[in-house]
Amino acid sequence: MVLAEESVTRHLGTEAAAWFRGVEETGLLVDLVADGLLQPFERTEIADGSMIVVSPRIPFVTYPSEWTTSMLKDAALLTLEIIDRAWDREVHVRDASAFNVVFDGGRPVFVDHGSFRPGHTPFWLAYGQFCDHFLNPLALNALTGTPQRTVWDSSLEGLSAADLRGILGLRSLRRGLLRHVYVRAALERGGDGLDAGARRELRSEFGVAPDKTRGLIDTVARQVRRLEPTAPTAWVGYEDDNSYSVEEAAVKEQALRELVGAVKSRRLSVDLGANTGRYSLVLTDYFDQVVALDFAEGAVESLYQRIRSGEAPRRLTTGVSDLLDPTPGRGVLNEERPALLDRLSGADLFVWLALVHHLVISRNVPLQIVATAARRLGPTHIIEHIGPGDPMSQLLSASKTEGSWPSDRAEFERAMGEVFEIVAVERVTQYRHLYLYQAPGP
Amino acid sequence: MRAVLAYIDAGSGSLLVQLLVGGLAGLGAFAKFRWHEIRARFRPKKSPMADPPAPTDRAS
Repeated sequence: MVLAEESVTRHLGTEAAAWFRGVEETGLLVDLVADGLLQPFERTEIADGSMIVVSPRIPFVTYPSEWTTSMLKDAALLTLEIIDRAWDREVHVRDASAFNVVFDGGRPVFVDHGSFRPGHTPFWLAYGQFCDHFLNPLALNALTGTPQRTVWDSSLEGLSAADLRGILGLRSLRRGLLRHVYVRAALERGGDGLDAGARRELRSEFGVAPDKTRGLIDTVARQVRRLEPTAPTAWVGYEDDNSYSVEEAAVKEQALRELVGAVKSRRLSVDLGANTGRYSLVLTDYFDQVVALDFAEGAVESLYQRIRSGEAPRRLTTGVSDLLDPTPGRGVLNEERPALLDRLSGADLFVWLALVHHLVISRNVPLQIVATAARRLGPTHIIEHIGPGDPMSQLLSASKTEGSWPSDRAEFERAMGEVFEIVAVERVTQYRHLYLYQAPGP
Repeated sequence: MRAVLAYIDAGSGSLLVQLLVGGLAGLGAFAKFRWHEIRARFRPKKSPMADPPAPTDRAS
């Protein structure tokens, strides 16, 4: 697979190409693309019988560790829909990994074109992986309130039945989970005695009829639908920064628009600490793609639901991430799944509204580090400075026992000035200003 | 790598659960499968190096 700026190219060898043709003949792929379930593609035959499959590249991708629980559920339902439709046409899908789903704006889309094969199989081969990647994390959340994201911190293969059973204990005996969690975990241990060859041999000897497999797929789908994303009991409501009056918010929005107008490149913008996305939406008026990130799952979830319902435009995408502990590189050489900072760098504009004072006051990040982090991300930033006189600043500072808020405007400009040049400043209130910063040079 | 093993060589648990779905015929197959598994455990192995680690081994 080759990633270029605008496209993803796969080369299929003669055998894989033959399978691909077989699948295409069923009409499945055309239907999936038409319904927006599968990323569009174009394929070219090569003289030797192999094939090139090219798809448009989605400009910014998030990984399951950045998804709210609803996002995982929607990815799960998409995957099941595809597996289901494929089975109906005597095609099977080799795997059911959460990494095969990418959010195009707010909409999940399947991107593993190489996963389809003609024919039914004697077992649903991907059932185990589907459970580990989708069903188990969703069940963990539904029954304990733990966000599904935590599952991916230690594993790129989701949550195993054995681990989930250990966590849930007797709760895994519930009707909907009994088979997939409790029984599956129990039976997996029994298989340790076999080597891979014997297992393969046994697998070829036994199987289930295709309609039974169809039944299992439907049962799993029903179970996934029943698992409701759940917040932990200590729920905190997320509203926009409510120290603003309506007039002040309007002034801030106008200030933002003024500054954005001065930014030349409009392909991709990132709203950091986006909260419920009020200003991310403003950015969608100017940029082809907008990414809204926040470390609070509740805020991201509320924005995600608005994108999903169509209330927010589709070119807005969202995800959960702590800027001070962004997703690291994962997988082979820690490059297979690039780090968040690497995925973000190259954006045309980063927006930091009502954010820096949180980083400096609540999380003790020196301004110099903020400036360095900003430079690492890109050359162009709109940053809101909130002075010590502001009520929000004072609220945050009140809980600190040592030192005082170290940053008035002069100090802020000094720290940022080591790395950036001021392009423009807009006043929002006496204590709040928006700065448009540009790093000098190429 | 594990992703490859996960679907090419599904752990028996996933397969056995599916056999259980199949009604009486399924139960029969299930019993037979389990019997083979248990029997295999007591067979002398060729050499420990010949067998790849079972996919259900999770080094978490």
